[in-house]
Amino acid sequence: MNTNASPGDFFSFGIDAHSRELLKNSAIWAKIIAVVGFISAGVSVLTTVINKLAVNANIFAAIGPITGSLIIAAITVSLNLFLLRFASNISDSLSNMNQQQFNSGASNLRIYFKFIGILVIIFLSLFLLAMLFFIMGTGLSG
Amino acid sequence: MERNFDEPLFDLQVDREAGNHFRESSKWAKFLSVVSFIAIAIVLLVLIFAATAMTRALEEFRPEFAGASGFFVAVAIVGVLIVFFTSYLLFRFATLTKQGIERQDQIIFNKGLLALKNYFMIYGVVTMLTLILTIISAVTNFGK
Repeated sequence: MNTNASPGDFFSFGIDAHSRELLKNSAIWAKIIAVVGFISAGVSVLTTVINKLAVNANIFAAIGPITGSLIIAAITVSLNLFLLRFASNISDSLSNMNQQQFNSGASNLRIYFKFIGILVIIFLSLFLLAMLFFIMGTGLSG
Repeated sequence: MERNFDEPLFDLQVDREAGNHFRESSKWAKFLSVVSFIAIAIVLLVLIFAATAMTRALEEFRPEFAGASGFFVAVAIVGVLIVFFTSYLLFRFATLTKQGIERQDQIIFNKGLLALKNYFMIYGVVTMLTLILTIISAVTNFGK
């Protein structure tokens, strides 16, 4: 079914009642994921700090793992911040009928997926590099 | 046709800016889903060809889990199924949303949004369960 867009206007069709309902539910779940992500990051840092400080008498030995968990927590928090912004902008735009907020929500969804995509590319590159070094290492020793 | 005054005067639109954002989101979502499909295929190959060697290694290094190898394989299969289903929903969101915007088709666009909603729903439930399990495991570890 084609909507009421004129042929020349390539980008413009309405958000109907069904789209609104789907976006509203997506925003609710996105908000839940973001909040759970923030809590998970906090719990992860807390458990690492407590575990490492309880096991290691030497505080300097605990700095590495704690820094690692802080970096992971920072990535998780910034990633989920974009998801939270998507959720709040979309739900606000649906109640206020604010086009600018709607576009901002869509932009945050784009940044969220792009962020994960870039993280996956970095992770895969590091994995391939490690594999390459491993193969080169076994080749040289063998 | 009479206007329904409960509805707002100016509806939201997928205008040029929002359309571009959704199109780029779908591009990255498609990339992520394809990477997930490849990862699932690799995990399945490992499960098929190395399951016996892995269970033997588990029994050797952790004898207390000797009888539980079947349970671990079942957990791995459930994990793979959940990841496959969420990746499939992400792929559907990516393809249908892009198609809906390019064809100016509200029904296809809504199907894409439905896939996104279901993706977030499953992802939300999984993250909540993971958080609960993490907290339980942390509390039991501190108790020891």
